Amino acid sequence: MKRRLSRALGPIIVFGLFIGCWYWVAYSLHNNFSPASGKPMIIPPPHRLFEDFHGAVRERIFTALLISTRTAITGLAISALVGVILGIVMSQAKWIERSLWPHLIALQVTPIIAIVPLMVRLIGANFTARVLVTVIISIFPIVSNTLFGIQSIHPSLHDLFRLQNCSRWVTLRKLQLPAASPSIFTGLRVSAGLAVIGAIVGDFFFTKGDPGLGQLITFFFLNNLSGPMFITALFATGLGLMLFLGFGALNRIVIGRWHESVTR
Amino acid sequence: MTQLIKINNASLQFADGTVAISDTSLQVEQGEFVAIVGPSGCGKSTLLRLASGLISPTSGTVERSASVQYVFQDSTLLPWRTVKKNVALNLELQKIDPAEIERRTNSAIDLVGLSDSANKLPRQLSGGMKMRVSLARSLACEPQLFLFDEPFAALDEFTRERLNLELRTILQTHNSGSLFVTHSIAEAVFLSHRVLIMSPRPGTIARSVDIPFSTDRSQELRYSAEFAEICGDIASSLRGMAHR
Ligand SMILES: Nc1ncnc2c1ncn2[C@@H]1O[C@H](COP(=O)(O)OP(=O)(O)OP(=O)(O)O)[C@@H](O)[C@H]1O
Ligand SMILES: [Mg+2]
Repeated sequence: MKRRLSRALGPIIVFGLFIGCWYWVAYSLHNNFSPASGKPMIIPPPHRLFEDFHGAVRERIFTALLISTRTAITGLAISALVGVILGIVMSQAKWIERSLWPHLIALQVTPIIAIVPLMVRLIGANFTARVLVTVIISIFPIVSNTLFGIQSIHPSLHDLFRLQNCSRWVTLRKLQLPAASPSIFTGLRVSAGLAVIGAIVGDFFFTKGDPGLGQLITFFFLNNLSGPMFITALFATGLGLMLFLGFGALNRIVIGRWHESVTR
Repeated sequence: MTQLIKINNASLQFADGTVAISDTSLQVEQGEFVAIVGPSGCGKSTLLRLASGLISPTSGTVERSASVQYVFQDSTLLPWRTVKKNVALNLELQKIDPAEIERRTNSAIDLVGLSDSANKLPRQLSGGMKMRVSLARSLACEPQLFLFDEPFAALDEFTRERLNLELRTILQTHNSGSLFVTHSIAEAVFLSHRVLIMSPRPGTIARSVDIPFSTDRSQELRYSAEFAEICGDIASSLRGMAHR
């Protein structure tokens, strides 16, 4: 109990400092409060953050949250499926890895905004386009971690399976996938955060279609509603955190029993 | 006597030009225990991989007329499987009937004395216990030929000597053959009927020493004058190689 308390002390102090800075910026900023209504214009101080969080504003934030969550989860699911399959395919032969790797790197380093106009032309500014942006942003860590996980299996373990004349499929199912699963989960957790970024960034670029959190932030910004804008950002953070923690929990359930990184 | 494996004038050159094995012949018969000793890097593991069929010789032939189990230097257990599931692995991969797997797995676990730990995971075991699991996994397959690549190298002297004795006892009832690679001369002499001494660059068998002791061997044998003499003889052969 005492150890848990002292462990929590660090994060609590840092959080306190963060809140302190927030107050300091909010009250020292020139013109932060409207002379007429006294409402915060740029940065609302923490205790006034939820002032406007009711009625239509709350409705809009919840709807947007739902839309962005759906985009992020759909994108992440596709990334996970396609990413793991790509990682497995690349691990099967050196020439496949060599053929695909440069293109994955290219996809990874392409600034997403550079291909948005192309996507609008090709598929329109709809749900599919937003999901596609999410997939492009979040797929790389899953592919590379799957590949890395399979490639770091000890060679004698592969020999062990080869000596029993196992098919590729059996080796994949009984050796490669379970052995790579800690690494795959690491990739999934990183990608979960990226998928939320992808969903919101995609929303920013596509000015048409159902508005998610990204478009809502733009809307609040243009209407000088700094409080709701902050709350929306907070919900975006919360969404990322939920996915991150969700995969952490799933990780513990699936491999926690045997893998050292979890039990320690 | 039935021949389990026969390697005829085999040579092996790796893709990078290294000649690991050169013109090597050996054979193992049923019930025979043959040890291979030699300086590090002389090609012992490569020879064993040739024998197992994991790699093929560049020239010469390998005739295998027996079912083979390979015991690796590290225990090569799957960390997500319990002791019991690990012991069952090879049988499972050979698609053997589940009831038969159950029977053979249990008896192999009994044989290596791990009945109390059958449901533990590898990370809960000591190094010696892990090696016993790896042994049990091979024993459960009831092969005609065992290939051991320094299975006890990572263990302490005491555990190692105890496992040597246990391995002898178990294999005596099996009538299978063994090819056993080791760095320890005493281990080689204690376990085998014949010790092959390998010389390096390129790897080949330089000498074969017959071990005259009866099949009934106890720990006391290790401290006899004759045992020491044979070990000394093999050691000086190996030393001669290092100086060449
Ligand atoms: N895949 C490979 N490609 C090229 N050379 C190799 C390869 N595997 C092994 N060798 C070389 O072949 C020689 C024999 O290696 P091997 O592993 O058989 O030796 P060893 O006698 O088992 O050594 P140790 O006692 O240290 O285990 C070494 O010189 C090694 O560098
Ligand atoms: Mg070796």
